[in-house]
Amino acid sequence: MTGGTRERVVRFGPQHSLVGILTAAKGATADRLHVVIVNAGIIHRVGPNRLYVDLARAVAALGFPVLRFDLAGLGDSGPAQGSVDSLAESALADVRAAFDHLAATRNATRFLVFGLCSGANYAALTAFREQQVEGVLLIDPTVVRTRRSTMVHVIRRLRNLSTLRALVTLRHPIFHRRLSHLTSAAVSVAQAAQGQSGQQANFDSPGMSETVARSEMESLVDRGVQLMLVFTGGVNHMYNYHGQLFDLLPGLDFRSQLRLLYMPDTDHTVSDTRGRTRLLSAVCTWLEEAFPVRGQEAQRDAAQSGRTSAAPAGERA
Amino acid sequence: MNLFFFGSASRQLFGAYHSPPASVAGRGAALLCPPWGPEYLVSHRIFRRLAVRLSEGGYHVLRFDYFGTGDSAGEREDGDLVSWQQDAEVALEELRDISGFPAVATFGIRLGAVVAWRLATSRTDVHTTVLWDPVADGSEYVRELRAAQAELDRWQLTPLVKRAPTEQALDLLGFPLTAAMRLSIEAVRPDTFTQPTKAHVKLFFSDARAGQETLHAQLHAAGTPFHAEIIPGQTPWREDEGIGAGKLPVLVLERMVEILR
Repeated sequence: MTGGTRERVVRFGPQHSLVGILTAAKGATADRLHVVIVNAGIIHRVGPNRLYVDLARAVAALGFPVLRFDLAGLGDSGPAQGSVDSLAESALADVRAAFDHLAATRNATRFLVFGLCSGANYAALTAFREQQVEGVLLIDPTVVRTRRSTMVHVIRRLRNLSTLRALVTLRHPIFHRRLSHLTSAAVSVAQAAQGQSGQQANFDSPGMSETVARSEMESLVDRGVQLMLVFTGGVNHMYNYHGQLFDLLPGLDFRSQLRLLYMPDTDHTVSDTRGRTRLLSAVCTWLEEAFPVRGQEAQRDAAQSGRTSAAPAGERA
Repeated sequence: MNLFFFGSASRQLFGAYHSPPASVAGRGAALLCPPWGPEYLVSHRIFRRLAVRLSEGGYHVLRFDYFGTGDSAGEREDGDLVSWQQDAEVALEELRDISGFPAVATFGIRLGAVVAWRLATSRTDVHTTVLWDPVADGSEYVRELRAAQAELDRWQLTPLVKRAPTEQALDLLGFPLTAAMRLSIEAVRPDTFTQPTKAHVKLFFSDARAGQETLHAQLHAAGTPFHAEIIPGQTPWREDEGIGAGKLPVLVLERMVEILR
């Protein structure tokens, strides 16, 4: 349909209530890594500013089939079937159903999960649980501030003339927020000041402590999962310097399995064309390097181990 | 609901067809014409809800995405208001084929209302057109988008990419507005609505926006009978609290279903 790729509608899950678009290169073979894209908030499967469509087509053109779909209750998918304990549990069940569908229809056995914002949180949680996940691409997952990022944020706000003017004239958005937001913000600031909430990456999962989050990330690295994390200027209240991830997870050895992209000059949904072009390029480069064809992969492993070996025929990614 | 691609091989369009339940006799067919860009994204779930309600009331309903938008083929820079109307014509023919009804009702929000209106004035197989907050002045519409983008930029704490207009495109609220798009949109003026139509014209407004009287005057001047309602506080195409979607305007949806009965 576009650039040598084809798109078609797929339905799967309980009573075929989940809806998605599968984008794949013409003649793409099975056993390639399949990419599953999770909704950002309640925006339907095209993604913020149609980002998911662009990304799916670019990635599919590399040979990785991509399924972007609507979680239960979003877009064109039906409501969740049966009782739902939490939105996260419902989302995880839906992503599992997507894996099952791709396994049944395309013999897919290996997956990469991608999401932005809440979609990134669900993608991370999926990777923690599902052993078939070999790659994770997260844009602006929820993380907690460090002391340094809190200071950077406060200083930036105070240096912003519009903020000062709005505060003085009581026109700042903070005056229009609900009381609960103010209370929550006050608690966060107080905790940060007391050093209670820093050094934590919770991926928006209720009850996920610093210890558990760290353990889960270590587990991903041990499993050989390839990670790409992107943080934009749109969440600079939360993440505002390049190495903040390493301060959140001090001492964690990512073993060359992490690609960190910090994009302070673009917003949360990468709405500018220049930022989008840069993001898509970086993602494609990462995919080609992290999931090379089998021969290239063997050469890379051999180079890393200091050995030389003949590259086996065939492909992996 | 049947989701499918239709149109020519070089211009595949995405459609969502909602059929009436078997227990309800078919009353007619309705084509929903979406708005553009950020307003498309925000109003998607409202359109889906409207399609469901209309189909429950006995209508065969087709939602679709213009080329270069939503799930349809094409890039975001492809197309303009003229080509989007051509896509709507293809969708209308598809709906007639699916439903078996020779004439249809057209619905549209914002720029989609302009598309729906033009279908009603250029074709004889549109019996009713429902226009929801139609864009009656394209130049003003573009100015509003630019002002909204400037307001967003103003609150950024770190300098983002400067949004200088170029000859190719201007990033507005996440979507590139190309020169061709801008020119075709700015060609929409109040006198656009002086074209005669035999379709029943229904106007819905979310608030008392400037320009409504002008629009009414143009319709009066053309001798076009119309019905207009203002239902305040039910704006489907404005993002609600930064969640990427508008509020579900239940009252408007129910009124639209009522007036087609």
